Amino acid sequence: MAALGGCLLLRHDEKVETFTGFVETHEAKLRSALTAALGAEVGREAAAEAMGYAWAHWDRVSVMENPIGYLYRVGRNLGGRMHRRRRILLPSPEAVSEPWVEPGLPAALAGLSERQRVVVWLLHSADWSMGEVAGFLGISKASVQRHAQRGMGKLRSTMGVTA
Amino acid sequence: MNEDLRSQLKHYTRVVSSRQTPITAAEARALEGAVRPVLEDLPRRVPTLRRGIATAIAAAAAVLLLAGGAVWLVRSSASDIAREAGATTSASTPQSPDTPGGLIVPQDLQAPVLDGLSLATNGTPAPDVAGSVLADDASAPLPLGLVTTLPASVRLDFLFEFCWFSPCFRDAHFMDPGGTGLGSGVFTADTPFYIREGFVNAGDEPLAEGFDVAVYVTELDAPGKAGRSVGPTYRYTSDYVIRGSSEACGPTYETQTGPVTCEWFVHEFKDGLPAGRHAVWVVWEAPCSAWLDYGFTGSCADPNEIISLFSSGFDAPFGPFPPDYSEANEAILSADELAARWQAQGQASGPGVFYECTGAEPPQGVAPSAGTGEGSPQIPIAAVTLQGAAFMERADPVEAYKWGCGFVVEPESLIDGLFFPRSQYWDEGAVWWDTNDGQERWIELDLGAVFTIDAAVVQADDNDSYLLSYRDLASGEWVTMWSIPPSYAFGMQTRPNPDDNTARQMIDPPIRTNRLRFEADQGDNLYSVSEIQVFGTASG
Repeated sequence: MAALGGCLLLRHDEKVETFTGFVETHEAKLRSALTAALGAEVGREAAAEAMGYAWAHWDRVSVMENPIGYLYRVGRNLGGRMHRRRRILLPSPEAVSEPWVEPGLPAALAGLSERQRVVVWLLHSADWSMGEVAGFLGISKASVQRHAQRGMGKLRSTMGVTA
Repeated sequence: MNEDLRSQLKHYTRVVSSRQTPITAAEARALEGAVRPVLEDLPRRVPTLRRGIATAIAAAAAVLLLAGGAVWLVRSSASDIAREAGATTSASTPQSPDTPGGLIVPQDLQAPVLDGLSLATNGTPAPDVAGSVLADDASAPLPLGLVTTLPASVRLDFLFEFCWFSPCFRDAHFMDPGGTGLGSGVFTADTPFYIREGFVNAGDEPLAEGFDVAVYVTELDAPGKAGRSVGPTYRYTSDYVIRGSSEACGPTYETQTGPVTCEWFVHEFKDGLPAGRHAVWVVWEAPCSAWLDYGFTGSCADPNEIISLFSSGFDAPFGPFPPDYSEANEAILSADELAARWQAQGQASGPGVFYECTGAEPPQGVAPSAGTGEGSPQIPIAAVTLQGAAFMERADPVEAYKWGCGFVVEPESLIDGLFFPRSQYWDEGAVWWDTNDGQERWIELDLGAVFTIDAAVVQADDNDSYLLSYRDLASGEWVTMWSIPPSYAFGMQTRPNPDDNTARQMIDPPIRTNRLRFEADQGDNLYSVSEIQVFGTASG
């Protein structure tokens, strides 16, 4: 393994091994974030493409300080083009066999700004800390907190929940 | 109840994720050759002038406005932009076309700026970005708060955040306390000011090498009008770069109140701008490799190719009014706070609004004069409806987003047979909408019967592409019959020929349908259409 201009040059088997480990570790996070941003279908597709991008550029991506945040941006760009023509599609609670969840929740989530939705989603789906979300999105913790507060406020308002 | 909502959120989001098929390394590797480039096949976009930052700052909605501008892309060759590293030159006021120091680019805003980028730069050189150091270092350029070469009382801030992806490329504060609302007012003519544009980063990683900001300035013909240029347009590259962190970054948008690092590209206008209304707009420039680092593209055909990214623009009056502005006041003030300041100075209101709407009612279009169009008769459209998410309403969002007067008109105006003058503001008399929320919107046109359509004409916002589709009678599917390209200029532009509202786009072969659908394809997320006409014959 040799460093060259900020890139790691890896043998193929090493590359496969490190990339596989990377995917196993980070795939769920990336998919979750892009699902929040782009909807269930497009988000999953964008995450897959972002991971494909990571593989294609593994020498560079593997040495990044925040590769998953970078891939989120890549996926967001790739998926954004699909997403622009579609609504934010989130499955109904019935569709995921969770009828006790308020049926209006997916629509309420879709009605948030993208940043609010991503922050709210990440904080709740996997118990990310505000610091983790901030690092992931490349914004300050204060911003994360603000987005979360506003997002939750809008959700409560939309769903008629009194805090 | 609140906890119940959180519980439901937690459960729902987890279940949605768990229902997806996890991505395996093998799947990702198999996609290696199929990963689509992001930048290469986006349409070439030319930055056209739009006003609005000043107004938009009054609310968080500015975020959406600027996000819309973020995707305007221009390409030019690396050789088009001179880079004399290390040199520092001040931009000069565009007093006349012969003024040295500024590159004169297109003679009119109607001309594509792309042409300007192809001219050799003989004005201010690009800064030595790579050679700069953080402002925390003693040898670094002066941090923002210590800049003393310009009177702080006449400063024009123009702050941007380059966030993580295009919807986040946004955030401008047009810090003009001379107005009753943020961003409203008149700037003082012939008085020095400077403009800064910058990146605000959450971390401490500086920008990649090669970033620069180009500022374009042109004089407009009259306040509150459609923004036509009456003189040459000048292009400036940065005079110097300031790097710093936290407080040194100055006031930033509320989403960047935490620890940040910043890099401001500063343009000095030591002679100010002459009295009149001026348009200023800003374009980021960087090698493709630098955009790559930001995830804006998947690959670069030429890593050194300079890619430009429109940032934002505004137009504003410059006059004899003395603004009240200082570093101490460099804060985000509410409209009420500003009003209180004005009252304290014995003035009931500010020096004048940023934009004077000409009336309380939206303007009416006019019937097209004789032109080149001929052929089948115009098909009467029975009904037009707005579908999907909400279009613009004349409420707070309008006040925040509007660039013109933000009039909201009935959808039927789309089929009234009337066209606006070329370059009418996009939100003055047209049906307009904002897709920064990611929601889908479209317009349906019910012909009331089946027709064979052989031609169409549309007047729509200049810098976007649109789709006109028809419902296939056999399948019920929507099929694109005309992919309407941008027509770069300013505001409303008729397609296919902006100069001739009667010129038709032929639909070949003709199609049969009873319903049409009009929707935005690609653009700045701020879309607008004022007239849709189709031509053909009844088809039983």
